[in-house]
Amino acid sequence: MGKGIVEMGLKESRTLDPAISDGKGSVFLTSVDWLIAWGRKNSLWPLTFATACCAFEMIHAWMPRYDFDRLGSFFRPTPRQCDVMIVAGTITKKMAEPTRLLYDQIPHPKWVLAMGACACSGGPFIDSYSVVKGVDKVIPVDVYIPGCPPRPEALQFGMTQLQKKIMATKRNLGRNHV
Amino acid sequence: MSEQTICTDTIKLNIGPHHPATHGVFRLETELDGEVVVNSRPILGYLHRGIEKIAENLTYNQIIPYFDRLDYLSGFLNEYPFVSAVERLMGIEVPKKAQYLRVLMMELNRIAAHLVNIGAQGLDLASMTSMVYCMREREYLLELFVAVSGSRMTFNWMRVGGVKSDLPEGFLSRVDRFIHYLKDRMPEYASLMQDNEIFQARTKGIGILRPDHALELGCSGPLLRGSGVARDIRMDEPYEVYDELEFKVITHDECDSFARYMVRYDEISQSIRIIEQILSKIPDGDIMAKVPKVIKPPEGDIYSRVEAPIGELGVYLSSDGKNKPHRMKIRAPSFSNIRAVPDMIKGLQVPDVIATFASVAPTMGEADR
Amino acid sequence: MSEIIELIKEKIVVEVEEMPKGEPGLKIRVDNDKLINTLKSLRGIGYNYMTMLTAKCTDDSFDAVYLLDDWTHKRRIWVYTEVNVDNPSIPSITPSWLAADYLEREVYDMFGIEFEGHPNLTRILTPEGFNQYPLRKEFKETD
Repeated sequence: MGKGIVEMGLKESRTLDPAISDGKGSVFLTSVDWLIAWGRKNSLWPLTFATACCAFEMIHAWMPRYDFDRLGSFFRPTPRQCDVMIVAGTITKKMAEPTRLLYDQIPHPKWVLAMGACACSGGPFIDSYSVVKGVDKVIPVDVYIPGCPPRPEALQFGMTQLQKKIMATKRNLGRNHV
Repeated sequence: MSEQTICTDTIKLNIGPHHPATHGVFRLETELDGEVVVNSRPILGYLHRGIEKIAENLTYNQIIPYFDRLDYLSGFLNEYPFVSAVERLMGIEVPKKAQYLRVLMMELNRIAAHLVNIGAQGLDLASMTSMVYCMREREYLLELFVAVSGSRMTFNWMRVGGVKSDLPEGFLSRVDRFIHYLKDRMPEYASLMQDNEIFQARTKGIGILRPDHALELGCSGPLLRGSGVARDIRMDEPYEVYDELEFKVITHDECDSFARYMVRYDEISQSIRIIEQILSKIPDGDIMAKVPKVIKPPEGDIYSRVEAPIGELGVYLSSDGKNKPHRMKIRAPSFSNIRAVPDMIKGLQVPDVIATFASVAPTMGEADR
Repeated sequence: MSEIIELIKEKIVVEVEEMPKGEPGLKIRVDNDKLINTLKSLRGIGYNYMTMLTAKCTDDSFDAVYLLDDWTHKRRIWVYTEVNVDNPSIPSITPSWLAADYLEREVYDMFGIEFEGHPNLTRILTPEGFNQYPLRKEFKETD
């Protein structure tokens, strides 16, 4: 499970700290940990944050053919009710501050998926004077999904990788986030 | 009651840049007196990516993918004005088969874009079913696009002088099957939306735009045709093979959001009619004209336009004889259409603002470039 | 075609040229002080739809480019005017033709050309605090 995450090249986010676990937790606490992680991964509610073209591939992912509702997730328009923020589309310098505000308004625990080449690194607009070269310059990212735009199947792979990452989190009980 | 005056004040409400209506990052600063809009100011630029500056450093064929990302719902229709501008500057004659293929894909793309706009208009009025149904149809269309160009949304299929690849085998029968399937589905949308009295109550009489004001502002597309002005570039200045095809320009005279919805709904039927004519008329031939390896148009300025689902999309190209453009400007219909929004929402309540904006249906990728 | 050329020459005393092959429009070039009257006269003749307003860099200055359409008679006309590079400022057509509102703001944002008489000449596309003009040829990205 650890090897799979490393292969994806995920960036360490502040909400995840698998190294802290020393394997000496009690049986009761590890089962509760597992239960909480299982509950979280099966009900990821994303924020409707979409700027550009990747928005429509994200919308298609929730529509009849790919239907991510079966993963337990459905869109919420307000950040106060979400756990995950899927950044789909180019982030420009003018939009960087609202992005950061929205991320800060999501309560912990939270995760970020950078969907598409523009959110990963600037994409085709990397030479532009008004584009932030990757949303990880503004908010911490957990999963990067390359593609321009990535197919809904790629977004599904990204979501399942995020679910694996959540299952690998230890010490879910209590406030262990910064 | 005594003659005391109660001091009232207006409040400023910010709609956007992040809001659930799926039209992208757009901010509307409204000044409300109670619930009624007194004044408003659109603020653009949240998706300004500098495409015009990027294009000055790329060769002509390298710029084509950037056009798909303008109005991301209609990639084929965006690529066309650019390749047509270069072809006209260089005097290249596109082969007949390539012209028919281009028109076929452009009309299929028009159906796809109108389906999203109709569905999104329903979604903004809290009818989630409309969005789900329209996207279900759109999945079949995206399969067709993948078969032709390799990608669901950002096609990069047209080239200067023709198109990149021919249609695969069995494509035309798949299009035919899709057309029959869609024709059966249209009455379903009608019963869900235009025959639904809640939809009618929310859109009839809302967001009035008079035709003379729309012309003064430079509006185009369903916004203009929903106000009774019969202007369609495919009919007024035919390009490619539109002069050989029969279709009608749809107008509705009521000038409100319902009229703009009906224009889009009826245009889907007209596109189906055009596609049926094309299916029987595609000739054999080349898909690409003889084009020099390095594309260097002669010096001069040119403007080429297309009837996109949102309005008139145009490309102004100024060439100085080199292999990169000297100045390339995109005339975006959403940019001019958004100028009409503050005038349309004066005196409306906040939910009607959302309903009006959904009927204008701009795309921010295009308005901000 | 020739009647419209004669009509333009009579109303606006200017030379009417043809654009390169492939472009069906006519072209006229006017000075800054005659710009507003030219556009108003063209509107009176029948060119009543403003399709495009932009600018481009020439060798030593800017050119503001207007494209007007006459859909009743299916013709179009280009209006060019030269803008001085040291003090780039030309009169604004917005008070009489609302289509130019956002278009002139965009030209100001990208090139720095000021339009005298525009009711709200502020940046429209670039972020706040951005104080350069991106589409000028000497623009260099700083970060």
